[in-house]
Amino acid sequence: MRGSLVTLNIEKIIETDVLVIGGGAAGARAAIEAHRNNVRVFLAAKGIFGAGGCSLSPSLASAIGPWSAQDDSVEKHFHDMVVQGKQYLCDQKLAKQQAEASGEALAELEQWGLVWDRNTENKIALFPSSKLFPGVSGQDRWITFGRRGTNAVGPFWTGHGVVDILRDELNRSRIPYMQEVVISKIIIRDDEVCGALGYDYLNAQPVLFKCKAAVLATGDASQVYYPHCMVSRESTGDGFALAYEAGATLVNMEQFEYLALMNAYPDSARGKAVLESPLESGEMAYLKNAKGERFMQRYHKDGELAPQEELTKAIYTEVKAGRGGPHGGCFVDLRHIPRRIVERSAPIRLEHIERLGYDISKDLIEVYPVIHTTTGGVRINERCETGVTGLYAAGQLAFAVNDCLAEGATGIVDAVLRGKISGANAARYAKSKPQIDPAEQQVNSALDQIMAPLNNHHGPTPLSVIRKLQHVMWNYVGVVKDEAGLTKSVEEISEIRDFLTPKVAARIKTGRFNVEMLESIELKHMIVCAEAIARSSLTRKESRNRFHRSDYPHQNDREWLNHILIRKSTQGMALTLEPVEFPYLKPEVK
Amino acid sequence: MERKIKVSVIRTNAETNWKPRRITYEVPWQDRMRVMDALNYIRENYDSTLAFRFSCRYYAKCGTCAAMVNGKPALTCYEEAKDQMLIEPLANFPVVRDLVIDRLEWDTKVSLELKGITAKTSEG
Repeated sequence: MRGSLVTLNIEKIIETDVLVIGGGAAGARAAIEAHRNNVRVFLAAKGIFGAGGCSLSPSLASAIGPWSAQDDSVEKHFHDMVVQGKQYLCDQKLAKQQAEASGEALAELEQWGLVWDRNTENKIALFPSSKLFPGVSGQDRWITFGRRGTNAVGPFWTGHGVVDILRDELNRSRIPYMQEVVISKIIIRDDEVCGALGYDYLNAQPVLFKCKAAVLATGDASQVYYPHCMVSRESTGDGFALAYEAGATLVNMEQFEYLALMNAYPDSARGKAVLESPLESGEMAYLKNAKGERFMQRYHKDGELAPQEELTKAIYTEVKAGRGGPHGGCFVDLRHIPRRIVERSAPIRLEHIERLGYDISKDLIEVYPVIHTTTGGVRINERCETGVTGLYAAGQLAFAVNDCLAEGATGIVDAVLRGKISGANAARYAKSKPQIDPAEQQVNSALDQIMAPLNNHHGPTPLSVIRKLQHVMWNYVGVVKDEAGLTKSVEEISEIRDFLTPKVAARIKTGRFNVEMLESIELKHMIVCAEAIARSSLTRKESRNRFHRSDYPHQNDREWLNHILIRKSTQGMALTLEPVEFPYLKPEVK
Repeated sequence: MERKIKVSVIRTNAETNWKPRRITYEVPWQDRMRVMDALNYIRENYDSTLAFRFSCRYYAKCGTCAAMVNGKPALTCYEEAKDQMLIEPLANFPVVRDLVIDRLEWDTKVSLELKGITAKTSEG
């Protein structure tokens, strides 16, 4: 007996000059800029525009502008990004570009209605980061929107505010956009971008986009670690996979940021901050293990005030040694701090803690580190070109400065700045060429791939395979990595890719909001990201920034001032090393 | 013995002939459990077709996970899970599937009318 075959036809075709993929700050900014350059623009967002993606997360924005301290400068900002933030593992030309243009990128948002937080003299207020992250950030450079509390590091409305303002501007410009559509493939013909195939899961229909240029702005990939991650549901790394499949290069995919003091449970609150700095609570919060010891002194001279990566490593080590709590974490202790002080310092953090049913005068709060953001990404140049003709990338997805905690809060600036650059360049390119139609056979084979889960009847659900992948990633490619675990992870990911994924079955065959079809497409993107992360991690034989290998615990500048590049080849992922260039700042290699 | 709670969800899909139907699930209790944890448990263990939106999880920022919990609008990521609770789609919206509502009209209203956003008439 054969089940009836489900077939989908392309009933919806959208023609445009520039297709922007991603509904966050970078995508919105790219669409606005392309529109200003007088081309047709269309924006496709996977989530609800303005209520998803990684642009929601940033609480702070780091930039040099009229608000900066007198002794601060573009050079210092650049130096902090390259040296303190990245230990030289970055593209200095892109960091320089960002340091120079950061002020303008943020000031522009004020013209559209985003009012940055002011101080009592009605000047844009600097966030006291040097006070809250002693030993990490020597210079107050960050500005905020929607700041609450005297000491809080977040969660503020900075990212949210930026996306909101950009959406208003997008609407004012009457730029068409579509929500809840996931892109499954960028279509290339004669080595040029000519379109993309998407699946509108809200209306349960495939959509063919015909375009001359595409801007990828899909944000982060840290959902491959769910629930051990901070970012929104949409950040499944779609853009990394789309760019890789189209022939672009991925750089340093093993690099991540971590945050240490995050709720260990329940899962829905996992990865959401209890505190980002132990000083947020007004007086210093203590970090304890299950035996009640304040253990940080054993790991770092600054105790609880050590950098996030030290807190992360220490909590990991304590739990591994059997001194963790019932949910596998360590504890934040606020019992010695009067509630009114916590409330004045970080009111929203307190609300989040109490909402979970904690009484901070009695209870300890169990915490464990999570992935904050990916910091590797798609290789771009100063014009946001990916090397694939007609394909551009911007925001958290692109390998530029991204968000780095040590010189923190660079993410939202990166998004609006590179959104603007990519939009302008994509438009300029689109004007110079005629539209090529995607080859029918290419579209059909991409469509067959989308449809496969609809015609599988007894396979695993997409969600179960995604959970399996996430489990592999956190267990073997988590906070501290080693050769044996990483080798195992690569094997398991290949097995998921080759044996489980082709059998994935969507049980929903009809009706709108086909969440299983969405997940089956996301699964394919997540596998590419997971494999890239695992293979890169296996290749890098040192510890640097927030990347820790227990078998190679030290930073090795002599051999590892190298980028790890990944490209698609006929044999699968091809990894190569490329020495980091030092056009401005040169490290002293001992 | 493991404590379990009963969670009822009003579901609307092909199997219910697109008419709302109350379906009750038994879900193991977890410490400090949110409504969303119950929904996720149902998806992971009973029925992966259960549809609901969410994005930011326990930031209480994005608003996409809103639903009626015991008759009141709530963010499922933020609301405590309780035994015998009833989860329904947000009232006064057309239902798309299960707990997913059609936001189109509302989004357009918020984006354009309530904010007073009008089209730019001239380029520049």
